[in-house]
This record gives sequence, C-alpha cells and structure tokens, in this order.
Amino acid sequence: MSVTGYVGMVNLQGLHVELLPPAAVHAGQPVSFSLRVFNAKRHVSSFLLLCSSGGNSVPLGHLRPAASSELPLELIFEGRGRRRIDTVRVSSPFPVNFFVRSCRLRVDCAFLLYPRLLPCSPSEGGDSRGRHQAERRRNGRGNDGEVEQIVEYSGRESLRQIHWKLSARSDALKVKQYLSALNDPLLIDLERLPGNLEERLSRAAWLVCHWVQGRPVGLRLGGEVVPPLAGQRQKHHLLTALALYGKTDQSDLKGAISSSN
Amino acid sequence: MGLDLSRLITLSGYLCALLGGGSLFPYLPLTPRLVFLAGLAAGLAAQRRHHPLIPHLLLTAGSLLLFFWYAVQFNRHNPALPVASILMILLGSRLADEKTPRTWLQTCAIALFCLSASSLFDLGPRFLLLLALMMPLLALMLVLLTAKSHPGSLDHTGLKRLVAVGFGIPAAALLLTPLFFPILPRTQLPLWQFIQQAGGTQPAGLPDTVTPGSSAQVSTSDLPVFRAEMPRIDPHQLYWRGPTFSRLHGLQWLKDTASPPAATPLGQQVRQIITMEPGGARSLIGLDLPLAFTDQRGATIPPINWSRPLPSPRRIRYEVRSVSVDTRPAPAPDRALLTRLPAETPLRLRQLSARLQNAGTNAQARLDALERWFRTAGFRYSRSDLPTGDNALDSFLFVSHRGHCEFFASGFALLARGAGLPARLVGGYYGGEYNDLGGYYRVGEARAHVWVEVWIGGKGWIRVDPSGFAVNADSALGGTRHRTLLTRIGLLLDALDYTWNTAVITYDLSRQLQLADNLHTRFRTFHLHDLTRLLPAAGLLAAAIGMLWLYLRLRHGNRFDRRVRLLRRFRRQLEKSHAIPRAAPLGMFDIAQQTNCPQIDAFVAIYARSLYRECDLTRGEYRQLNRLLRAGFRRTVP
Repeated sequence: MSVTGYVGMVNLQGLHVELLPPAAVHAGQPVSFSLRVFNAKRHVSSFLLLCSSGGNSVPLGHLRPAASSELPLELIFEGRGRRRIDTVRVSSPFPVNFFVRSCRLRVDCAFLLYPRLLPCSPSEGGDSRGRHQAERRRNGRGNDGEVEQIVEYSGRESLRQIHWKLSARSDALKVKQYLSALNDPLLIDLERLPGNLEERLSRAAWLVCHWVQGRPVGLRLGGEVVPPLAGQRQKHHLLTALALYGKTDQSDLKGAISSSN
Repeated sequence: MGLDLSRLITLSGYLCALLGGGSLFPYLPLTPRLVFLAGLAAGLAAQRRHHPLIPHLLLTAGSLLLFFWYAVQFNRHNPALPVASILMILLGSRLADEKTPRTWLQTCAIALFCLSASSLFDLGPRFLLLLALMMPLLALMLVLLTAKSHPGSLDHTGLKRLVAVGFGIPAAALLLTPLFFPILPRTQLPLWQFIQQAGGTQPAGLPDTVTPGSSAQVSTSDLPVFRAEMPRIDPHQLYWRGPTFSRLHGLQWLKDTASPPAATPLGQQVRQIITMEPGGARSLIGLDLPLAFTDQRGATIPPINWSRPLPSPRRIRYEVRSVSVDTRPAPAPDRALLTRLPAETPLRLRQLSARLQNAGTNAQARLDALERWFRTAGFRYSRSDLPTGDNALDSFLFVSHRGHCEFFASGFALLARGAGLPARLVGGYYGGEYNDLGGYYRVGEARAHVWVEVWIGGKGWIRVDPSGFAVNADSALGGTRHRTLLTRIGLLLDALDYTWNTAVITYDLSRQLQLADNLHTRFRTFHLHDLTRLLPAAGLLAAAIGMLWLYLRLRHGNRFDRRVRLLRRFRRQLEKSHAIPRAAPLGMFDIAQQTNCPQIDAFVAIYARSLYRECDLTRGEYRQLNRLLRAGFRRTVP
C-alpha cells in the first residue's frame, strides 16, 4: 500500500500544465482549448492521467520524462465577458486503481468570452441600403453583389460577366455589372435587433462573424459608433465590444471602441 | 509478436491462475482438480474462439452447487480441505468465464487465495517461492488492468515502462518488508498454525510409556522433530534428553511426573536454541544434560515444567544450556523404587541378573559385567521383525537378539535392577544431521531413542546406551552418512525451511516483545562513545552516497535544470520590465515580437537555438544569457 501510494504520488509530481484558448471563444459553443502537459521529472514517466476542467476531461496514457504533450480539451461556456480558468485538475488511478489521486495545477488562462451566436439577417439590424447607398457606389463594383446594370463589353470584363442571353439577341456582347457586396458596409445597430439584450448581442455577434471577413462592418452600441471596417482585427474589436457591453468594467469596451476609431 | 496490453493481461492472468491453482493442486481431491483443469481448458479454448464455451449462468449455477457441496463438509476438525476445494472450484469457474477486466481481477484474487490456502498444508520454502513468483505477477496485473480501464492510450514505450513499474512495485515492497515485518502487530497465538494442523503431517512425538514388544516394527519416518542451533560437537555426545521412566507397570515403563532434580553445572557448557516442530516432542528436549531452559524473552522455565506436556501443538522455540557429560553427581535416589523388578519379569532375566549380582563386589564391577554380557551376546539393532507379545523381552534377550532401543534399554535396566543397581530409562533422541549452512542439528523422528541411567554410589547417574553394544550399532544408530549432491540440496532446502520458520512463521507477539526489550536495553546502555565506533562506517556510507550523487550529476548533468532556471529568471525579468505575467500563455517568439526589445531578442535567439538543436547550451551561450539577465531588459519607448 505504501509503495503504490508513493508511486501514485510521484506520478502526479513534477507536472505542469498550460491551457491555451483558441482565437475566439463564443458562449454556448464547444471550443477546443489546447492543453499542454509537461512532465518535469527527469527520469520518471507519468501514466494514466486525466486532465479535467469545466466538467470535461481529456486522457493521457503516458507522458515521458522531460517531455510534453498537447491535448485538445473541449469546453463550453455560458454568458460573456472576461473569463479565467485558474486551475486544471489532473487525476490518475495509477498504479493500481485502489484510489484516484488528484491535484490542481495552476494554468491562469484568461480569455474573453464572446456572446453566443444567433443567426440573423442583416436587414434586421443592419443599415446597408439606405444611408450607405452612396458610399456603396463610391466603393466601386465587384463580382459578387447584385446586378447594377447591363453595359457594352469593353474588353476588360471577365467572361463570367457576359450576359450570353442578351448578347445573343443583340449584335454586341453585353456584360453585367455587379455591385460589390464585399465592399458594402454594414452598420449593425444593436437597438434595432430583435429580442432582449443578450439575444440582440448574440445576433450582432453572428452578423459580425458572418460578414466581417470581406465586408466593412460597424457597430452602433448605445451612444458609441464603431465605424465599418473589414478583417480580423475589426472582428476582434467588435466582438470584444459586444462581449463587454453592459459589464461593470467598461474601460475595456471604451478601449476597444476607441482603438477602432 | 508485439507488446500488446490485452495480450499481456491474458498472459499474466493465466500465469497467476496456474501458480495459485498449481500450489493447491497436490493437496486436493479429484473433483476440484478436474474442475480447475476443465476451467483452464475451457478458458484457453474460449480465448482462441473469442467466445466463452460455457454460458455464464451455467458456470455460476455449477459453482454454487459445488460450493454448497463442500461448504456442508466444513467442520472444526477438517476446516482446510473444504475451503481449499471451494477456492479451486471458483478459480476454475472464473477461468472458464468470459474474460473482462473484472473477471481477470477476480481470477487473480482467487489465485492468491488459493496460494494462501496452500499454506494450510505446507508453509515451507515452496510456498515462499510461489509467493515470490506470484507477487510481481499480481502487481503487474493490477497495473495493466488499471491501464486497460483508463481511456488514455499507451504507446509501445509507455507499455514497456508500465510493465517495469508493475514489476518494480513488489521489488520496492520487498525492500520495505524488513522494516515493516518486525513492527506489524502480531497475535499471541499464531492462528494460522492452529488451522494448519488439519492438513499437515506431523511427527508423532515421544510416547508416554516404553513398552518393548508392542509392535513388530517401529516408525522410520524422517519428519523433523526439532532443530537445535549450536556448534557442531562430538556425535557420540548427541543425546537429546527428554522424560525419564522409573516406574514399571508390568513390563511397561511409565513416564516420571516428578520434577527432575536441578543439575550441577560441571564441564563445558553448550548453548542450544531449540525450535520444536508442531506436535514434535511432548515435553522440553535438550542436550543431555540440560541445566536450564529459558523462553524467547529470556525468562527461565522452572524445572517443574521441563517434563510437563507442552501447552499447544504450535511450533515453539526456546534456549537450553547443557553440560555434555556421561556422569553427573547426584544424591542417592529411592533405591527401593529403582531396583524393583515387576512380577512379570522373565525367569531367565532374573537368573541372569542374579548371576551378575555375584559378578563383582562393587556396583561398578557389576555394571561392567552387565555391559560385557551385552557386548558379547551378539545383539543386533533392528527396527523390523521384532519379537512381540508378553515374552518379547525374554525372546529378545535370550533367543532372537534382535530389537530396537526399547528392548536394549528395557532389558539392560531390568538386568541392572536385578543386579541391585538403581536404574531408569531416559527417553529422547540420539544423533542428528548437522547443517553447516544453518548451523544447527536437524533431528528427525527416526532418531527417537531410549537409553539407561544407572546410579552408582560416589559417582551419581551414569549414562549407559545399551543399543551401542549391538554389533551393528554404528550403522543402525545413524552414523556418519556420506553426503551426496542430493543430500546437500536437501540440507540447503532444510536450511531455507528453518530460516523461514524461525524468521517468519514463529515471529509472534513474544518475539516482538523480545525485540522491544532488546532495543530498550540497548538504548539504556547506549553511550556516546558507541557512536564514535559507528563514525567510520557512517562516513563511508555518506562518501558512497556523495560519489553516486556526483556521478549522476556529471553523467546526466543539470542541463535541464539549468535551462529551466534561466527560463524562470527570464519570465521574472519580463514581469518586472514589461509587466508580462509569468503565467501568460505566450511563446518566447511572441514575447520578443511584442516587446520589441533588443536584449529580449538576443536572449530568445540564443535560448531557442539551444532548444531546437536539442543539445545543451554551450558555456559561452550560458554566460551570455546570464549576462543579459543580469543587465535586465529595458522597455523600448515607441
């Protein structure tokens, strides 16, 4: 008993864990954190480990001495705002399954929990047709928006743009000119989205995630407006603003909005 | 064939079952043996077919039936056999059943119980050997089954290391055993030995009467009766004294119940530690002439208890101080009692003793004449074809001249008494094989012996062994045997058996108390100068440990530590200079990028170079990194 107890104790000694969050963590959505387990013992392996956090766990059969292993740990969170995972519980029935020995190892993993994603149409809360029509025109044409007009083929257009049916009826090649949907800015107004505050935030988060990759997306949040921009950085800013909206610590929110401006 | 967890479990499980079942197999009746063999065969066949041959329900029902069959046979006088049979049947049933981790665990547990049960029949070195084989297997099984029930997967190296741990656990436990064994609580009465009675074969022990002619042959069993730890002495002095027989009932000699008179210590004393086998002698035995008996705690056993029946059939151990003499001074005994001849004394014996009485003027001359007659009469020592019936003694003395020690001693004592010499019989053992390895005499049951003591005025009691007057005395009384290889192996095994019994089996509460007493005495008599005697040894030990530590340090180095220490210092510096928390989930390159600090860039470049080329930092790199850390990191103003 004393030997197995000692072996079990040594098995959990010298272990260090690191928990790395994914790029975006949305509420209600299973996300895979990267759990790196490091065995600092120089000569002794660790066996049959079970690393758990938030009700989920990931097994590790064998960890060599002075080696590390990276495991995916699936977690789901509720709510939004700043979150912190202080410790990860590492347990093991090793060596003989009479007792399960466990310990809590510090990970100090801080991350921002973005709102849950609720699918929504841009028309529900976005302002992309009326006020920004002029801007849209200014922003030029593209290949993936709506058809704006049919014009004569100038030789610069791509073959995809040729309107074959109309060209067959006339003597000249006709081409379709599209509005660029990607460049069509979308200003999400939180107040105009349906539902209660959390639902509105969730819908806004969905709109951000859905459109921000190729289209400028802005956000009207209370009295503040984040001007439309596209890309990852904007996505991060908008989601941060949505995650922290209405939370006690507004400094981060203001920081997120001002950095965007 | 690669290393595979399931295959290892199967292999270890069957080995465990074979060890457990095999240990009990020789002692059981046919049915449990057959059930075990059938279960083993069914299990192996099922293993090949990946499907159990016998349905689980049928197995359980059959096992229960046999369980009850043997359970009703259980009784106080025969507790071991039914229990052992039940265990064997359960083992067979588990072997035949579907193999799940749970079944394997049950199989191993029952196998261990079977091995334990085998100790009810034989608690010797064989049991120790089987236990030594089973323990590592059991530990391995437990570790493997734990791994099997764990969701984590094991690679080849992991499995090999796991096996090493499985075998390492009992090895480490073995190292701890000497530490725990003496201090774990023991009972005053060894319960196991009490139960063990049922199955074991035990020596019959010395009888309470000496009756020549009661049987046509005597036992030649060589079961050990006792072992006496002592130096080797002259084999002709190996008379192990037991009770005396002075009174006669017809021609039957009766054991004396009176306490033996205290002996006077004369001559060189011999100290013996006697370990008596269960059921061995029925009273204390010691080398003739015993002066004092002491128990394990050093308390003297009063002479009144020497000839009393031993309290229990357990294995007992005591110390005897003896003096090796043929004659001992003693006051005149009850002459009337010791010269009385019973009415049944054969006529020819009376006539001969009358002639002997006239042979000399003094007692010594008559004794000499009696001895001379015995030497010249052509007696042969024999254990078979012995005269029986009422005239057995007459037939021995005057017709067949064949008999064993009882005939010789009885005839001699009666003739001595008839010649007016007070005489009595002494029961005990003669001879013994000296085991040089264990430093003890092993005395078997076949060495049970009876000799005569004759009292001569002015001298005291003189030991006379009439069996020694037989023409074949040397060979018949177990003279020096030629030691063949087989005998030597036998002696080696016996030494192991003895060590096992004395060190483990007979270790009970009194031995624990004795150990505590010794420690207490040593502690009380301990002086500081005793410690100085230990200093050289302690110094040597410390030096050896230091050398080992240095060797390991040089061999494996503290390279890993050195790098980790540098990294820790680096993170501490970062916390101070750039307020980056030590636990921040940032890689070194991320930190370098974020901080945009040339010193940090330099540190990271050197450190990462060493890390990725998988070799240690050079001395120059190490110094450079230290320099950077000492200088500290300066925050760059954007």
